[in-house]
Amino acid sequence: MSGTTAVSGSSTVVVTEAPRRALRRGRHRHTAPFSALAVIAALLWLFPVYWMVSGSFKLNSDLITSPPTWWPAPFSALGYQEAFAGNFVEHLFDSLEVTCASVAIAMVLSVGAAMAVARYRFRGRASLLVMLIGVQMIPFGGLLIPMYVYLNQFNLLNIPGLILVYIAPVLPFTIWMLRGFVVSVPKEVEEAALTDGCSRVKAFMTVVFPLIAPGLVATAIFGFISAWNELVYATTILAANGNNWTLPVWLEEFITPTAQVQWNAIFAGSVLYTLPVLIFFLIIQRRMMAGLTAGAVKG
Amino acid sequence: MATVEYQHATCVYRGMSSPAVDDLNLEIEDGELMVLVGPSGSGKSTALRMLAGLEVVHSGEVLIGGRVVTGMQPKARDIAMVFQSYALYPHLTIRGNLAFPLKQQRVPKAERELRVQEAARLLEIEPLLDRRPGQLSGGQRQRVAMGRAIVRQPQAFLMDEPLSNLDAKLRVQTRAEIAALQLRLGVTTVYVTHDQVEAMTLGHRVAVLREGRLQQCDTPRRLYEHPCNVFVAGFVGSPAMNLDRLPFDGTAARAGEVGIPLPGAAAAAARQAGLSEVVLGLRPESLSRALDGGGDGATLLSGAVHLVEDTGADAWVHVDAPGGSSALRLVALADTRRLPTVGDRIVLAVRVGEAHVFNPATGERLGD
Amino acid sequence: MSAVETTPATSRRRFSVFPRGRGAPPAGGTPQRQRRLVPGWLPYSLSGPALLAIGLVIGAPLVVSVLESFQHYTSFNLIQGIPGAWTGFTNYVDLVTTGGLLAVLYQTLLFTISTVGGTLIIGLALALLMRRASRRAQVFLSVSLVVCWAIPQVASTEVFIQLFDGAYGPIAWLLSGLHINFPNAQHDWFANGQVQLTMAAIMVIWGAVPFVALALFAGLLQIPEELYEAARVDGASFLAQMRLVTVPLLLPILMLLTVLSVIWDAGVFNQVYIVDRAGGIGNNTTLGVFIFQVGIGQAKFGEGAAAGVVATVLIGIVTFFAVRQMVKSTGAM
Repeated sequence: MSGTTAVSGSSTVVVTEAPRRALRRGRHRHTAPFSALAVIAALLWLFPVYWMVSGSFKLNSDLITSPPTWWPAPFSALGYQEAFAGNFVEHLFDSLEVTCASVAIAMVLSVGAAMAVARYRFRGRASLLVMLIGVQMIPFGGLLIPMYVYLNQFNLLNIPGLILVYIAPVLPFTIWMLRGFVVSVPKEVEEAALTDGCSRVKAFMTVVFPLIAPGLVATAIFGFISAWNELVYATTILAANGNNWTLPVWLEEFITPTAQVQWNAIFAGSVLYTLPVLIFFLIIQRRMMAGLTAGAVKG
Repeated sequence: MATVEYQHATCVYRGMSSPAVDDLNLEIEDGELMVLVGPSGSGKSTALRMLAGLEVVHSGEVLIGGRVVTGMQPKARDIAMVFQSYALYPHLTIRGNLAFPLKQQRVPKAERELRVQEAARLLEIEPLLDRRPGQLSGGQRQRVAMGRAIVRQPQAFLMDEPLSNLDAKLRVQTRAEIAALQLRLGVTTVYVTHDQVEAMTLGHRVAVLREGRLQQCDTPRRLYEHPCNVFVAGFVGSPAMNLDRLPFDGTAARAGEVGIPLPGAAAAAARQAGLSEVVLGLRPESLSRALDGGGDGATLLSGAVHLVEDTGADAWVHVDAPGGSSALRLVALADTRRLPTVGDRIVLAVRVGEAHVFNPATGERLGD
Repeated sequence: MSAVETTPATSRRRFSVFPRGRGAPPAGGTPQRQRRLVPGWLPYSLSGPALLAIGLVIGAPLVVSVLESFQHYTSFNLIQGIPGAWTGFTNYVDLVTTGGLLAVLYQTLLFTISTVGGTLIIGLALALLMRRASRRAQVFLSVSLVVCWAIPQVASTEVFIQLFDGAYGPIAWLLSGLHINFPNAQHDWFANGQVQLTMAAIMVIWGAVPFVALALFAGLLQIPEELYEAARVDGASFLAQMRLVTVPLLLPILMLLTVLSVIWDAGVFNQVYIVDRAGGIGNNTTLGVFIFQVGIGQAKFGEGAAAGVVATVLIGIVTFFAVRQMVKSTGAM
């Protein structure tokens, strides 16, 4: 048998590879003007972020100057001091608790439903899919009152109650996204696992699950952001509970009562509020993009 | 003992008017390489997947090694499958791919590595063991797919068009290697392909399928020399057999003014059936250029050459011959040393003893 | 001993047609009766828990909400525990006549059109830009976009409010530096009015573009280069290439993104709410905040519920065709 030289190219490899590969492909020749424009666009878009971060390190007085102070000088951590004095850490843990718990549970529920919808034909599948989209159209805020009454009845106007509330709204979107991922795993690879000696469950765990991992990550991010961002329900449900606020509630409360607006503290609080999400994101950014492709295109 | 059997096996897809596989009866011997061949939609892949447990057997049974496996999970059937798209595990290395089935069988690590190494050596993919499928060429992936099947010692190999994604030259090369490998390992193999050349060269026996029904199951030689119906006659052999519907006068088929006498048994059967027309089948090699009148009593057809195909070792001429109500398009084997040119008028001698005759209504073979 | 190399098959014995039955029947029940690949209950048990969650947390309150929309139900009822009185469509009528629903709908329409349109156009432009840029620039832009996307809405909204601060914000400085006196450099952008909503729209677009741009970029990468080459060979201009190759192939993603954007932007709450609070609550709101204001701010639960029903129905109508297309494309219909 003569050896053939390896040629790159893939038909069986899941989309995870695609964007990276395409980025490597030779692009058009004149990239310079476009690259410059892209960088300008990036900087433009980042400006508010820069303002937030730089503002967090300024003295409050420097934030109310005209013309504006572009660079924090002197560098000051006063903003952060105030934020921490305002119980930031405590509420950070509250937010983390609520977010992680609801995301974890939502993921587990989504995977099963996505598998069912993607792989198997059953009566009611079409209606289920329609329902999944339809549910997303319901303005979730509109359900606040009935929800409040419910939770009140079961003594759930607290953190566990909020966790429960956060699980359902993300499900339609995550199921839909995960469905796209499951579909993108070629059926034959799963069948190969079956003929290689796996039971259905084993085949899922050893083959399908690793291949939809980017999708799981992408959907987990989505769930994370939704919960991390959410203001209305958190405010309403946790209102009475001064010690147990999620961060968005905390930030808003932080802003309102003060007679004089301490922007540097607000910015510091905002930065701190953003950090966990950002860290999470940057770690898995590339996989997430691949995830979005497969999910969106195949969907 | 690893024989494979289909007993009245039927598979119907939801929403289809006719079964994908209709009442299939097939017995495959231990160690045999049986090829299932047919055009697309013939049910050959479905039949293979029924054996694997990936398609439902709606009625009938499937047996492996004498054991009824209908309804059993694929993993319990002790078969190894090579898929058309290879279906390698993208997230595992080649070593991981090869070791996967052994891991499922809980083969101890030392023996696992030994067998992986053996299979890799056999297929000459040792240098690739630490790479990922995405980094391999099509031919290399094909070998890994084969390797994944042979690391085990299953009762049967199932192969679903394993060569169809390879380029022509690689296909021919790999075909020979598969044949040799199968002989060496001696495992019963069921092999699906749409390519009749592949079927003829690889199969110990070949089963021709059409629209879910088995047409004929025989050795390649017998399929070629004694096709049991028009479909098999036209499917097997390349270039295809010349098949023409001609008037029958009791002893001969009439091609215009020329009468082509039919073999005795065939003519008798045609008379018995009261046919006024027959389908006459003549392989290209049964028609040769008659340069010197052909000799006494030779049946001759003359016509104009409208295409010459020279493939190096062989050459084929396409000839238009008058044939009564419409012209006959015949393909004949030509001597490469004296090729006619397009437009020439040539005379073809018919080797009437090699003619195949079929009933125009049923397609069945007439005679022996 | 090598495990793989076995001795070649020696004999090809004929065998009997009837199964020999090697030992015990295979595990898994009588094969003859199991004619399915997958147990029938499997899909239902897999999707059951998720559906249950949706039904409980969304379905039940939804039903209650719809019922409430036909009742006269206020905080009075809630506190006193008295059930609401059935009033038919009164709530709906009231919303239109005295509640200002139509004005809000109109605002929401304008708001949604501008945010969705702005997001899609800018997103597509950025995606096309990235496609033509060098790899470094692509990475820089995509990471920047991701960072912007990660900023929680509450935080970003506050930042924007300060950015546009009439006295001390950089934007004011920029405008005065450019000698643009529109409306005037010291203008309070967040006083009531259309301008306030425009601010919110800008914030929404800022936060939504990253997702759209990156999703579209990924989609663009999937389009085979050969299609563009064929178009170029046939003499197509840039716009023609867009029309003939890019848009048709991006259509599935574009539709998905449009539907999602419409749903999200029509119901947007955070940005509008925060902007409202910054500038003083006024009449310029969109549906999301309106429902909250009526239902909770004014404690008219019945009317709030009615507003919610109206919002859902309208969004459903607007996105109907796109949604149907999406479901069809999954092959389920």
